[in-house]
Amino acid sequence: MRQRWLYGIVAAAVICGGAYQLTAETPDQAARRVKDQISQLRDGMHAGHVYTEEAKKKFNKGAKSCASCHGKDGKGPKMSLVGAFTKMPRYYKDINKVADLDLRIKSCIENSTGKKLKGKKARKKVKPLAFYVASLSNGMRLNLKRPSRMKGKEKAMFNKGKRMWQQKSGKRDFSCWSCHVKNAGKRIRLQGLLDMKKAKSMKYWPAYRFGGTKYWTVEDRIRGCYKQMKIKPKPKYFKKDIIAVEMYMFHLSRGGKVAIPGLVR
Amino acid sequence: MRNISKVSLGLMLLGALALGLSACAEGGAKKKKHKYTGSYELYIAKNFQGKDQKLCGETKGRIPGSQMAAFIAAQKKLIKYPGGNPGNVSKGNSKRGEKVYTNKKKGNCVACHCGHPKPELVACGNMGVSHRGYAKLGNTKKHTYDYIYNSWAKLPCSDMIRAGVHKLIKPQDAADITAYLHDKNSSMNTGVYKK
Repeated sequence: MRQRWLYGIVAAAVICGGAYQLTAETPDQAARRVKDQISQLRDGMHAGHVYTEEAKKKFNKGAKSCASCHGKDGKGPKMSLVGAFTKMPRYYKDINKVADLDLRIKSCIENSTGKKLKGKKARKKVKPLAFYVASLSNGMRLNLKRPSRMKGKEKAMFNKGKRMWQQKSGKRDFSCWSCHVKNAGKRIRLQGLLDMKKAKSMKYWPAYRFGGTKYWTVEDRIRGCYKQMKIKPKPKYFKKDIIAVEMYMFHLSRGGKVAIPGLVR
Repeated sequence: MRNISKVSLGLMLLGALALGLSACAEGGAKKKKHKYTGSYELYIAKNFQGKDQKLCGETKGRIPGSQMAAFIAAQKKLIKYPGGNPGNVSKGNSKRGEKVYTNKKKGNCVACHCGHPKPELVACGNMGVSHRGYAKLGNTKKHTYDYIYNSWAKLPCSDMIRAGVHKLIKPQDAADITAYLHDKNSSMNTGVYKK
């Protein structure tokens, strides 16, 4: 008799559980589920790591390579790149420009080889190296210079970035600020809007985007933002304006612990 | 001689006309392509930003009180009504309104507003308030219409997209959405989804 009762209870539990799964989840639950899944994936290994590891080979490859100046794997002893990413974008004397990771690598290649990189070829060369060089700073904290201590070109760049961050424009009346600070934490459809200050999201860029199997640096991401704001054409790579916005984003995410390559949607 | 010169003149004129026509046709067929050189910030300001947007961006949405009245008056002027008559605001089709409300390519209200009884169908966002039971709030239809068409006329620098001003929806669409929200028997107010 008892066993029958037990069977009954177990069967009821199974049916109830099934019914619970069948009931549709609310948008809130769905968004949280996706977020949890991504955070679980972040702990493990993903395609971004493979990409970075391949970039390491490129870094050391050839008679005249990055390694011939920066030491094997970029770890010195002279001109070590460990921790260089945490202070970017900043002013560089040799090119007389404020440069982010992408532009710095591009100008570095141009200076050493004497040839100018252009268009898609430039992106193709720069991107993997950006992944590798940034990953050398893993575990360190993002530490852009405080705005009060900036001078000259850096200060001008920072102010420009701040203006562009707030620039409401386009057919959707969007600005970076209105979604990523004011309405942060809310959703557009199921896509959560993250708070740049809380999430410190610059800590995991350059990142691997599993949505379209893309390897993106911050510059690619900012161009994507302008596409969503319906502004054509997108800003050009390696130019002042894109670096200005990037600089302000690094200012907001100061203190974040670097974990590159990131994994994002 | 005279005849010959006349003929040649005529031919030349014809040729010039043909050239001009072909140039016109090319100009009409080609779409205006935006290109920018120099500062992207200035490029946006010139081509994709109105005065009102600039003011909202720079003040982070807090317009100085002295400019508020002029701002709202200017925004109200941008509102257009179906058939040019504000009275037509109440002449909307509730069922069509529901379609515009949920359609991603038309109104796309569900991107930010919940309240539609079948959320798993439309995966609503929560940037805006829920519209469930909107009819009970007691807003006038004109208020609702104005808010949909140009939200800045009611709440300056609101984050709600000015769908009408940017021509993402037509005046009739806005009237239909208004009817859908105010209709006591619509799925939004009863909370029962009917196909």
